[in-house]
Amino acid sequence: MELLVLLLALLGLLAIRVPVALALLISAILVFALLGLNPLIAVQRLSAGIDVFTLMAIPFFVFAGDLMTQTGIAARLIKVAEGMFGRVRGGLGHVNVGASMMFGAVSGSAVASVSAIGSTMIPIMEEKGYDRNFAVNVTSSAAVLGLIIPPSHNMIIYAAAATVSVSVGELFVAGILPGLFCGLALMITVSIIAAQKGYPKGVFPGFRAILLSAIGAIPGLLTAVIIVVGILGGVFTPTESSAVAIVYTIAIGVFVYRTLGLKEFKAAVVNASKTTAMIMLIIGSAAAFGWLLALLEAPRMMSDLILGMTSSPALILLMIIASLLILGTFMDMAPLIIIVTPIFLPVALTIGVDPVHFGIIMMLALGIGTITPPVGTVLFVGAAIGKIRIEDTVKTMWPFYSALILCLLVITFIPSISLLLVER
Amino acid sequence: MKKVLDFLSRASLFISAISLVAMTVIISYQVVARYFFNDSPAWSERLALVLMAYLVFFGAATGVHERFHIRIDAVRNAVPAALAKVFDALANLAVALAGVTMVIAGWQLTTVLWAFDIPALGLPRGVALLPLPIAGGLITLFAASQLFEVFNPQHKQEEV
Repeated sequence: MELLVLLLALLGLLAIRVPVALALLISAILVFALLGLNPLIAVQRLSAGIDVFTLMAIPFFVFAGDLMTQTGIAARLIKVAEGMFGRVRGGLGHVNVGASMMFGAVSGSAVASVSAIGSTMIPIMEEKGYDRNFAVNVTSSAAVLGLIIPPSHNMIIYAAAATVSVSVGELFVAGILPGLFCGLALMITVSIIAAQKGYPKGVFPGFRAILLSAIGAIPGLLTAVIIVVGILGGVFTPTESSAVAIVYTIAIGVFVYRTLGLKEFKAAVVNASKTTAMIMLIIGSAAAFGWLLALLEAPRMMSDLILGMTSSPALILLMIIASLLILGTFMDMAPLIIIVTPIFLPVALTIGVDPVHFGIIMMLALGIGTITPPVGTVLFVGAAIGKIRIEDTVKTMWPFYSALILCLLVITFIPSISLLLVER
Repeated sequence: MKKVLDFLSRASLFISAISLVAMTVIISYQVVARYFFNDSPAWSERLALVLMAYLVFFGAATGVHERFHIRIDAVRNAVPAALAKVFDALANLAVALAGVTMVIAGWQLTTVLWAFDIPALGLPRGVALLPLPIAGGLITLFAASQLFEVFNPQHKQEEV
């Protein structure tokens, strides 16, 4: 009963356009009052929800990503990708996927990726005769790869929300092959569409130009190496690695690329503060909401429901994936991770799924949710940059949805894609 | 009035941004201290975590004023204008309610925990909770002014 009120209150508040973070908090406050508990507990859970050491990596990765956008590293990564993939048919589509993967490897945020790569690539693609729809489709779906290619701040949220201990370092490594695999799938999708539509080939820039562009991008790409090697080698904690990434990005922005001045720095700080406040308030409120769900025994009810329907691990996984995909269309990724991890992870553990593998499944499933309306932050940003209506871009998006969902199924049922590189 | 609110919102964002920079400096210092001075400061992570509360809650208050929090427009934009006005009024009322709750709960937590110290820092634990009532107050104020705008559209500020 109280559970129903909680969910209806949340949906009602979201419908009348209350910000997601506050809708979570207010519905929790209402239900606390309804249960005869002190509604002030909700605020206490909100405060406790963000008072977590590992979550400090989120503001840092967001800040590093904004600094990278300001240093113009996206343009350099695009150059490298152009050298690698530019000359095949639909070349710019491949360049887009490749550059998004590289950007995903240096920043931790899909929204930063879609805005940094999209603002450069979408106009170029349109100029060369690609449909604007297609350009937005490719950029948005490729940005999702940034969520599974390390570093990924969503993985840190997952590790914090997990009911068993999950190492952020292992999650990062586990994301590498699935990220490359999805990238390949998107490139195949691009090839098929490009052949149908007769999109142009690019020109071969010559080995010398490729080499020069690669050298130009190395200082930027090293960020990814520093973070991943630093965490795995036990040199830094994930939180420290994200702070080091900031200092390193400032250093190359000021001394190597010479594109980062006081003005750019200020813009990055302000932007990162806003984004962090937004994400972290959602995380804290989702923690309060999730605490209430646990109190109302929603996780147990859900697992009883799923396990009561079937005992087949494959079917259970399919049901979980379907739920994640459906929830992902309605909700933003961060609160969902906080709320559904304690619900689905125990079920996954019961049927013998590795918690690191499950993390990757969840990142990709909820990642697809970031490019599906009615709530799809990455798609919204992509559409805004491409100056196109969301309804229009979604119409041509289905090959990309299909490709990503196919990848999700393959990654779910072949655990070694995720776990091969994880050393235990 | 609008000018006062704009100033408060900018000041709030300023506190948030300064906290982010300070956190970065502290955690970077922690790495440097460990590898170069062979010293692992016990206070650094604690202090950075306190600053994160300032970063989040003050930034969140600015978010209410500048309307940059994620929200779902689809339903509100699909209903007739009269109903949309009702939605806006209720939404702002709800946000103000959240703000008031943050003030009351935040103030209680701050005062109760003022008596205890944060380990390794020597600061009262209440310091980490102080952003809650202050940011809650700002959120209430910003939501109240937006509620006022719903009924007095001529005062409406630009939608962000």
